[in-house]
Amino acid sequence: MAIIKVPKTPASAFNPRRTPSDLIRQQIKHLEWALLPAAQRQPTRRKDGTLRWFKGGAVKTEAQAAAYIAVLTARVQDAYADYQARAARGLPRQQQKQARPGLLIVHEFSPVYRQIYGFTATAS
Amino acid sequence: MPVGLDKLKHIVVLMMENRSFDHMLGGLRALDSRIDGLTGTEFNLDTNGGQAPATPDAKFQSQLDPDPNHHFAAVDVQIFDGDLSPTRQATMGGFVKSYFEQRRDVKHSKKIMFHFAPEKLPVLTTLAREFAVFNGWFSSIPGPTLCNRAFAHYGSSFGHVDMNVFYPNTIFKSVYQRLDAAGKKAKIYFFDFQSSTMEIVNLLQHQPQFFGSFDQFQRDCVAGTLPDYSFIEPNYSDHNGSGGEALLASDQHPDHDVREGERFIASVYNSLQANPALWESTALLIVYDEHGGIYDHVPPPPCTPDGAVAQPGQTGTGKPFFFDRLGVRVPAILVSPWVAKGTVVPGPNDANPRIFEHASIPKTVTDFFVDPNFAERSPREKAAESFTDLITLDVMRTDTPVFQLG
Repeated sequence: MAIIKVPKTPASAFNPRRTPSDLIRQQIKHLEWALLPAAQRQPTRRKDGTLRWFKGGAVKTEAQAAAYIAVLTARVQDAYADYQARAARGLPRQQQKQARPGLLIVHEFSPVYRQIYGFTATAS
Repeated sequence: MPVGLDKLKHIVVLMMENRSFDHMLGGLRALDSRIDGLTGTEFNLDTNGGQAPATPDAKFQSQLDPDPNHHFAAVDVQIFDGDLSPTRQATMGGFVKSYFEQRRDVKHSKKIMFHFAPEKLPVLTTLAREFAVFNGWFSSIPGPTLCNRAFAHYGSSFGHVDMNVFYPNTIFKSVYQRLDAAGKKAKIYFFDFQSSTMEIVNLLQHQPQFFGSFDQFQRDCVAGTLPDYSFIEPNYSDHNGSGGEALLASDQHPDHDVREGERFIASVYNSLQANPALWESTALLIVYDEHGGIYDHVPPPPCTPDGAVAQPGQTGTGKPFFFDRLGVRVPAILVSPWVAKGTVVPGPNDANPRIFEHASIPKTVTDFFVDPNFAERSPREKAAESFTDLITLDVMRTDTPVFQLG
């Protein structure tokens, strides 16, 4: 049985200030999209080609992206739980639809976010 | 049926990010000629007409910056060297030209040809030589992450070749839904909330019950409560943990440090190996979602069309894409104590070739846990190869390697 030693990655490799990759930016876009009310989930774009709902442009580093992604991920899960709870209570179909995703979550997050993470997302 | 296959109860898939087969494993050809890696004669031409050879000069970090373009149009250049004619052949000759476009620096553009010497990647290369390495596992789409990962979950990208939000109304059920309906357990383990998942729009948004964290994966391994099928996502970003500790990205996406990905692969392997009952009943597939724009010498083969067409506006090449060709080859390794040491699964340059792609994942998992005759699959998944037949041994190996994390 061979024992393979795997050394620690040097601490110098850690760079939370690295600019987020296109992959991480897309991840944020998808999370923001998932939190939009259904009626707003249209793949419309601005003249510069950016997606209309995308607010993550204020995210400049991987650490900021990670913090924002954590908030959005929790809210996507909360929105689903909320939707399930409303459905279980037997709300009329139309009200269920309106309640489905986390309404205004992306738009209202910034004051809380600034308080927790020290920066504010602004519309890109 | 081999005893090993009879014992199989769990399949675990770990999908890493953005490295080609040759970049990670190409150097193994010098140690085992059956592995379809690099001979030392491969090269691309740079934009001055000089040779850019494939050499073992890859570095762990700070070499592939900017991130090499791997959107559909760029990958088309990498594979076909910019030839858009109807009679074009896949030459794998356009990687350097494609990378040159991003910094317009000839010297820098040649770095896209570099690969790792095997000793620099002790985890991945040890697993490749100790278990089964695939000479012909290709990404499903010659394009970026999300459409390729969709194939691992659905067997299709539903006509998409890009990173945009898509598949809100999926035709085919995810592999997790299929197992759930069959009374089986399935889970996607993401690293933590700050890294989260790449499977947002359909899976996280509408099927959050299938998600857990990597901590939970490790606890499930200890407790012996691992689901029938597990899909693991690495850490996608450098960030601080809840206790303030530095958590390095482990996805190996450029420009993240490749060594942390090695450690992550080893930690998944160790978690399984540490529980003897789990170790003898689990197969672990380590695979990369796509090549990340990095050189590989094997032309992607044609494949069964997926029944969709990506329009020119989506491909960026001015031409439609009929989902009739696979993406660039990626590293893939199947680990189990019931896999014969040194198995090399033949690829397109070998006798009796077997071509795998990410649709092979739902194909294998559905065949094994649900029903081999499960009908509601994409054309690509129906045509895909399954990999459980690589578990061939009747006596469990006790000579498997142990990774000691520093």
